[in-house]
Amino acid sequence: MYTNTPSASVSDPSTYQSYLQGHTTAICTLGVGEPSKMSKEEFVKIDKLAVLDFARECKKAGVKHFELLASVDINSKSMSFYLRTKGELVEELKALHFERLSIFQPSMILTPNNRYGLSQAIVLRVWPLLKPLLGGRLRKYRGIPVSILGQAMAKNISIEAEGYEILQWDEFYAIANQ
Amino acid sequence: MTLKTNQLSIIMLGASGAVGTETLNALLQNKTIQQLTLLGRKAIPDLTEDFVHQHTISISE
Repeated sequence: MYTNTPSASVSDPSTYQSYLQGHTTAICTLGVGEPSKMSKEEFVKIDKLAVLDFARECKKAGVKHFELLASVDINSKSMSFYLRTKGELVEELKALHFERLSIFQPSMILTPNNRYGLSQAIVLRVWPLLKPLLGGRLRKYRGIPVSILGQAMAKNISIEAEGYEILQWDEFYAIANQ
Repeated sequence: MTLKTNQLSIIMLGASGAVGTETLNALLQNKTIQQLTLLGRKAIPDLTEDFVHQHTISISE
């Protein structure tokens, strides 16, 4: 069933909070798509503040399990603006004390189609070739096919667990293949 | 891993993106989902499952 509600906006939780009631689990894959093409202000507004608003409303509505698509190496003390912003977001999500908080941390997401022009086209061709070099502690930097990542996010909601968890390349395959 | 047997009710923000689309496709195969509510920039076509509800939501101002 589809409801067109043009007045709903991620910037104003009051416009969508009524949709959240009665849900046990939230999955958030919201993002600007290509952060390097956005202003820092726009990136923070969508990838951090809007997500945090959504999470707060989910908590109020009784959601027990919150899943977030983030990125590998996020850290609230990172020198990288992108990684620091995402790290700050996760710290704030942890403070909401969901019964379970799952943070998905992919490196390069490998999509069948090139969505962002020449630079991404090159990356999509080259990254898979790096796999043999990314062993041991570097395995988390391996490219992940978007279908595997999607399956992992979907199947993880059915696994009994609680608390805070970080999921990376090895976990994506373990969950997707179960 | 122990799997949940109870019915799940899912709210999803961002289902129309690349990862969101793949996640949604996998969710639709999960028989324990009782309710799936999607908030996204655009409606996803051809979703006929009774337990799926979609609402469009503006990302920009």
